[in-house]
Amino acid sequence: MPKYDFAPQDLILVTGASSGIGKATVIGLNAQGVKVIGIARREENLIALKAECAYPDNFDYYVADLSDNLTSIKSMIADIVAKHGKISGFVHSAGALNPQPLAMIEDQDLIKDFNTNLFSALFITKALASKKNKQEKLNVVYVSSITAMIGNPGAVIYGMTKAGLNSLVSSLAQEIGSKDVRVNAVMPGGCDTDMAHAYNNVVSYDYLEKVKAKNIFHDLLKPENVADLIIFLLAPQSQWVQGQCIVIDGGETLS
Amino acid sequence: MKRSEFLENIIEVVEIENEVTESTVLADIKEWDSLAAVTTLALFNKKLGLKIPASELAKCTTVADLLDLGNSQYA
Repeated sequence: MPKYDFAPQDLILVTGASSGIGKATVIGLNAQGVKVIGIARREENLIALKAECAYPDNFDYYVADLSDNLTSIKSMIADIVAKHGKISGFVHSAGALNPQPLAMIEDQDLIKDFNTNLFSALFITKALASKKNKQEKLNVVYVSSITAMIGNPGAVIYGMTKAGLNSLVSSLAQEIGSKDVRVNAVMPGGCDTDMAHAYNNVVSYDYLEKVKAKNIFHDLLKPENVADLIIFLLAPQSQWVQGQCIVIDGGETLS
Repeated sequence: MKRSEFLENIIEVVEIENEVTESTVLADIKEWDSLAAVTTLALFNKKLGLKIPASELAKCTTVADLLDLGNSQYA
């Protein structure tokens, strides 16, 4: 990966840090010398992640479950800023995909997944966009999905939340862009993550094979490939990219 | 809610950094822009239960003019 011009004071928050794309993003940013705060539910995974970092002293974590208690987000951000200083970047990679058919969906499933995937992104962004919590510039990158565009059976709620993230990008880029906030999203195709394998096992046993057949590499996108794009979007080299949802799928959506 | 409390709410939500008094001219507040105006309209609604038309807010010159729009609701 190229060496980007991150500033010494840069401090980037990553949700969903303990697995998949979030984990790859933490490791990639840390290798760039950027200080990263990871947020995830399970402390043991965060401790293991710290050990994987090239610069473990530049990684700290906060244990939180974003599927409920959204009101605690404000104090969580205040705690992190009090301990580490103002924040320059935010990656929302926390995501839940609980595969189930329409007939089985109940309101509690809806609320938890919307909290994790979408509403927590909104409230963390809200907290970070305030002067007391953000550095001069703030870069926000949401991990959306091509499911927002093309859907997937059994992934109704997931697709809705990802479409919601795309909508957040468009509105927030216009609303707070003038306050030196960039808001973008990445939309990965089928990716080699635990989440995608779980979906494959529960709903559609040939999902991953279909993904491989559709993209030009006939392989699965790796979390590191998505992290590379996220890190570019966080870096000053991408300063003219604003309000975009960028597909990264090896051509999966073209076929 | 008192008139002074409502002003504190505006200062907090719009994130006005410099000192503001009732005689401050809105145009002199560097944070005062269209988004700040929309935010203030939402505050009137949420905190005071008032639906102030944007056209009324646009007539305000000073902070006092702005606060006067809530006169019917202050404690």
